Amino acid sequence: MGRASSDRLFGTLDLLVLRILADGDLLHGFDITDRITQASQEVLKMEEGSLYPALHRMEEAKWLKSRWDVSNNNRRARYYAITAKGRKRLKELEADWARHVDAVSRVLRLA
Amino acid sequence: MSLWTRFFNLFRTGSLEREFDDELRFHIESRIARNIQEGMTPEGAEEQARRQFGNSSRTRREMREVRVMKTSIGVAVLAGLCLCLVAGAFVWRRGGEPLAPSYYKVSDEGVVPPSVVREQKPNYTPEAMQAQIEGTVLMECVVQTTGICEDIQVARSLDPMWLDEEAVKAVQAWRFSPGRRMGEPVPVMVNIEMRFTLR
Repeated sequence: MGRASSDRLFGTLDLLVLRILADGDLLHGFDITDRITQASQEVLKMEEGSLYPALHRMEEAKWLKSRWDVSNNNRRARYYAITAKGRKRLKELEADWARHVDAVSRVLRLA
Repeated sequence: MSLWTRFFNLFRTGSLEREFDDELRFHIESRIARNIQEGMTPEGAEEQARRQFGNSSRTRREMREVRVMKTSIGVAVLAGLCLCLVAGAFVWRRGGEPLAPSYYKVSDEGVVPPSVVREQKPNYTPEAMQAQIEGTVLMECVVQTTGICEDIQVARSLDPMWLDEEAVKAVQAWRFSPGRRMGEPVPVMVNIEMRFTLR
């Protein structure tokens, strides 16, 4: 999981990225960090550089695909989109996360 | 990415590096622009963007590992096998003398250290100049018998964002007269300090 685990993402970087891209938008890395920060009301913040090796790894796993395009401010940027394989992976990761949260909650109720 | 593309990437690391640079630069510049929009001074905006981004050399290394290393490892294993075969033949001919190490250290007995034949000064990037970054990057590398420095590692970083990379690029262009042992050229590990000063 690399540096993501030492950030405040609790090892959920893949899950968050796939979920954000699952809406079908074509996004560059800067947009993705922005959406994670905004949607989590700034609770989930990361060392932004750690996103890029993760994006390339996920593309390598064929969960994402990418292409170079021109951004709003007329700059060349690399855009990412989710693939069918990525959506399948997202379902698995969501289920894992739900199980994890459930398990932690059980322990907390016991203590 | 297909196996073939990854294999091809081995030979286009230059353009891959440019792609990484473009992608990361886009991010940092977008963050700086956003910070300025939110009222920061340009200096403050840049500093915050760098801090938020973290260690960019490490990011690049990890990207490289994802895109290229897998195939490199494959090739290295293959090369290793060939080397074993050659070494095997050699040992058989020489009656089982121990194999030479992959490189020597300057402090090893009988090693004449390599000397620099052609130096190239590193570039000061405009960003580093603006931030007035000065100091020394310490690198470790193995000078091969070809006179080229390989496996350049930054042992002590000065500026992970810009100048470390520039120092490594400069050393890649350096040429050496290789180190020698018993009169024969041998690979030798050396430390290189590169100083960045603003006039």
